Amino acid sequence: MNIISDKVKKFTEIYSNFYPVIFNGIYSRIKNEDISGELAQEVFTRFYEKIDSVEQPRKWLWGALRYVLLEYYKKNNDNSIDIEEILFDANIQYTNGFRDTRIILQEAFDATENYNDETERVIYEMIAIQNYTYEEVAGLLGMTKRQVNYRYRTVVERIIDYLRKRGIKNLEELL
Amino acid sequence: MNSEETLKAVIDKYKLSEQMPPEVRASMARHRKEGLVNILGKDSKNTLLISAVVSFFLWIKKFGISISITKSTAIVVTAIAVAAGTVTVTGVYTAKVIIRHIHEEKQSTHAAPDNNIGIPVIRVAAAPRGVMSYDLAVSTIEMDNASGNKLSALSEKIIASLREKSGEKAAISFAQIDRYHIADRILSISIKKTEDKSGESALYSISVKIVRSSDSMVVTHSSVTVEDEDSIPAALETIAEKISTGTLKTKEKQQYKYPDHPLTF
Repeated sequence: MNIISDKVKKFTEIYSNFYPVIFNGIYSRIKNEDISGELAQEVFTRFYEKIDSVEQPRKWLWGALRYVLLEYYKKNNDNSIDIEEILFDANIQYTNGFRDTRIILQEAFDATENYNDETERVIYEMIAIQNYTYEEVAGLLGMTKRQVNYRYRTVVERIIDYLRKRGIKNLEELL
Repeated sequence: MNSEETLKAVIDKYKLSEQMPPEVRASMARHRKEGLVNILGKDSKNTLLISAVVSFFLWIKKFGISISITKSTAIVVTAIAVAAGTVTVTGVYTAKVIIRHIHEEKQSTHAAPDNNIGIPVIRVAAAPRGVMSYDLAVSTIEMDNASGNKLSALSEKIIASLREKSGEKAAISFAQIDRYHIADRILSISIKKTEDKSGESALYSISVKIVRSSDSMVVTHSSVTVEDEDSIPAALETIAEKISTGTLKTKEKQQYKYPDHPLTF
């Protein structure tokens, strides 16, 4: 293998940026670090094999994550929950009146217009959703803390403006 | 509470967060390295070298430096050659070239010939010492069904063209904007494919917007149409030329306001 082939270059960049969110996406459901590491490696192994035909890495990786998790649950014969519903619609769990607001919030977090690029989306997910510090994100993505801080703030302002246009004039109202 | 803290509180209240304990985050970093070594090592017998390269590639990110796997390989190979005592003139020269190249790449946004782009520039208050001011911050080009690498390459091409025509301070990537790198205006380009009714042919509409960062007003809005995807790079080159010469004109008047862009602190 030519370690500096274009395929390897492309793969390592995507891998180093997306690995934290994929690992954490698995861990949040499995709650086991070692198994999460194995499953995350499986996701990226499959991605490495298909990388030349992948147009949108993020979508592909999340799709692969769901299937790898599904295979894991089935292999471990976990019949106590409806696996497919858990994987494909997290909002279905919440029936206490929060559901509509959750859906709007999730749409805001998913909306492409709120991010300049995938790196900003990764920064946002790691800080806002997974509670990483600015220093940790900077160290994982090879950026300065200042850059992470700035880019995170601009994403937050876009999301707040997105919610404002959809009727949530003031975030404090949701609290 | 500021807006970031409020949003986090909302995320927590609506149970949208997936918080990772510190020990799990540390474990993730370890698995990230092991996973990359295992995946790249499947196609190669040189797992020791791969392990060293991957370790360096991920380690240097902790210092806010992001370099490609190619450069990591070159550095590690050179370091091994030196450590093994097989220093040669070529080896030393190569190491110097690599180190100088990385140093120049880090410094490239700080080169400061006088800006002479010859088009009206609305300046914000004079930048304080230590702050680099650019004319345009170029956002990553938006285009459906295009890979991130392709869009990044096109965006970098625009930046390179603008700098070639108007100097180093003509443009900077929006991703590099921070407290010490500011820009007077933001350039946004989006490309949409439209098919004719028969579906047999398609046109690509390239929409260009330049927004003033001081008050988020759109100062220029233009568009150009090309007949095929292969013509896009040439069209972008033409757009860069027009921006540099001040001949990019607004095709229709619009006075809508973008959300505030906090490009200055």
